[in-house]
Parts: sequence; structure tokens; C-alpha cells
Amino acid sequence: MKSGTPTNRRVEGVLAAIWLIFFFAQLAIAFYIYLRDWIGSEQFGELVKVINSTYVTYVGAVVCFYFGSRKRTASKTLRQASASMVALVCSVAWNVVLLAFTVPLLFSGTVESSIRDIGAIGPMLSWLVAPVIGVYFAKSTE
Amino acid sequence: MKISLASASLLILAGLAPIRLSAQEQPRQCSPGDGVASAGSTICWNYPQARSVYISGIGVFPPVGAVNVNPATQTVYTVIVESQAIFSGTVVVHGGASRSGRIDLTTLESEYLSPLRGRARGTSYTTFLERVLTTLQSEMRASIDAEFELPRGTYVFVTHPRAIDSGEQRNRSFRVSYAVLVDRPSAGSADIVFSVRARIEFRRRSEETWYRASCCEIHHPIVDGLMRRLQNAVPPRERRN
Repeated sequence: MKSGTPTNRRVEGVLAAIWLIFFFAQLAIAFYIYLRDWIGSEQFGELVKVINSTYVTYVGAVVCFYFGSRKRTASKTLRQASASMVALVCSVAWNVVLLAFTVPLLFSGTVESSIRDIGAIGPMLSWLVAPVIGVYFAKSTE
Repeated sequence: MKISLASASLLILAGLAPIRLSAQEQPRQCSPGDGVASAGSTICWNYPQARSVYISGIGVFPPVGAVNVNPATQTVYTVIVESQAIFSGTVVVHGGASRSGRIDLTTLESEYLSPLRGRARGTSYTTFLERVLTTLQSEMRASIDAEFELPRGTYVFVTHPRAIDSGEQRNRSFRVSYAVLVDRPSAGSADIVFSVRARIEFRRRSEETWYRASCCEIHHPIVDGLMRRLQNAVPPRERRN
């Protein structure tokens, strides 16, 4: 491995952190607006449900892989390093897009449109993260 | 009018459905050949023996006349003819898309809450209907969503929801829609009995869906306010009668 190339272990950690941070940020916004009575319990339930169902596959896979692979050694190939970078960039892009539908709730957005958009855009952009993450983890177990 | 007043009174006394005008007596849209030049349609009527005629959404007119209407949507105008008895009919004027503002009594009673009954004395039925219309439109600044007659003769005004002050609840906005139900007076009665109801909805800061507010704490002052206006709207001269 070239000097400066992140190890697989580190990238897995960053990837898991990215997914967890964005997931909890989404939930934090939902809880914040609910506790301030900006939405009712019915809409809160709907919002949490759609966030949960959109994130569960990726967060589950990334976190399980991270905690289930403690004993693996660091990767040494350039190909694996580039795969990990693509996985990181795609994950950040996907999460930023999804967060962009929740953040407006803190200003003037409506929960109904956020639920609609997250439910539609999340699965629509799954091609961006699902294959990349799959390939990255497949490569890192080689 | 071809229906004899005697037979009309009998029908009222028997407690049957309100008297409808027969096909020949219905007010109608004047044909272009009638010589009335206007961009919209014209409703014509001719009831020389009546006292007054009320046309929904417009007001009270003399027994014989015509009025130009130019609705954006297909609109059903209810025409109330007041003579010794009260008759009603409808005219459909075709505008653009059709609009159905009718609400059945069950919906009115379940959605429009906190009913308050009032009584107006010394005013004619058609004059009172116009007064309700004016009060809602001019004083309450509400637009009328629907105006129609229920099968048993109660005349109904339903207003479009209008924003109201949310008071201390800054995270919520409220809106109100009024329903005013005016009972058709029985023959010889000097009183007009009416009731006011309100449907109040709210939504929180980050919601776009409106939810119905439960009865009745917030309803009472709002319904009370309209009731007071309607009762005060009867001019003193008429109230003395």
C-alpha cells in the first residue's frame, strides 16, 4: 500500500461513522420538531418510519460489517483503496441529499413533503450506494 | 305563480318537504334572444304575486326581474320566492369546471360543532337570508363556499375556511369555516329560527394537513361572535315590529 492510503479498517470506521451520524441527525431533527410541537405524533411516527426504512439496509450492513470484522488485517492494494474512496464519496452524497429533505423542517418546510421526498428519493438513489458499498465490502474481504 | 297559495299552505301544514317550483315556474337563464346583452348569463324570474325573491350568493330582488351572473365554475343558484308561502327552485349556470358545495346534514352536524340557536323577529325570510349573506361576506370577510337548501327546507350557508388569530399558540395556525342554517318559517310565524356552527381546524408549524379541532372551548367565542353579529344585524326599526 502506498503511504497515506487509508487502511481498510479505517475506511470501514469512517463509513460506519458517516452512516450513523447522518442517520442519527435525521432522527434528531424528527425528535426536535416533535418535541417542540411543530408536528403531531401521527406525522412524527410517519417521519421516523420512513427514515428508518430508508436507512435500515445500509446502516445495518455497514455497522454489522464493521463490528463483525475486527480481526481482519489492513488492505494493501491500490484497487481496494480506490474502491473505499468511491464508497465514501457515494455514501456522503446519498446522505447529504437525504438530509436536504429533512433540514428544511427546521425552517419552513412541511413534514408531509419531507416524508414524500425521502420515501421517493431514497430508494430512487439506492443505485448510488448499494452497489458501491457491496463492491467495497466484497473487495475488502478478498 | 301557478301553484295556488292554498295548496301550498296545506303542504306546509302537513309538514312535507318544502314546496318546489314546478318546471314552468322555475327561474331560468334567459336565452340570447331575450335581448339581454351581457358577457355572462342572465337569470330571469317573473312572480308578480310574490313579495320578494332571494337568489343565493347575490341577494334580494323584486318579484319580477333579471340579474347577470358570471360564475367561473358551474354553479347552482337557489332561488327562494317569498309570498304568503315560501317556494324554492334552482338554476344551473354553466361556467368552467363544475363545483359541488353541497354538504349533507349528517356532515354538517358532525363537522360543524358548537351549534348556537338564534331567533330573528320582524324580518322577512328573504331579507334575513340576504342579511346573513352580507354579514358573512362584508363583516366577517368570509367567502361563501356553498349555499343550498336541505331537503326539509333549511337554508344553509357554508363559508370558505378563513385564518383566525391563534392567540398564545404560536406554533399552530387556525382557520374557521362557518355554517349558518336558517329554518324556513312556518306559515304565519313572525320569527326566523337559525343556528350557527363552526368548523375549526388547526395545523402545526411544520405540517400542511389541517386537523379538526375538538369541541368546544375554542368554538364558543367564535360561534358566539357570529351569532351576535347576526342578531345585531336586524335593524332597530325591523326589530321593533
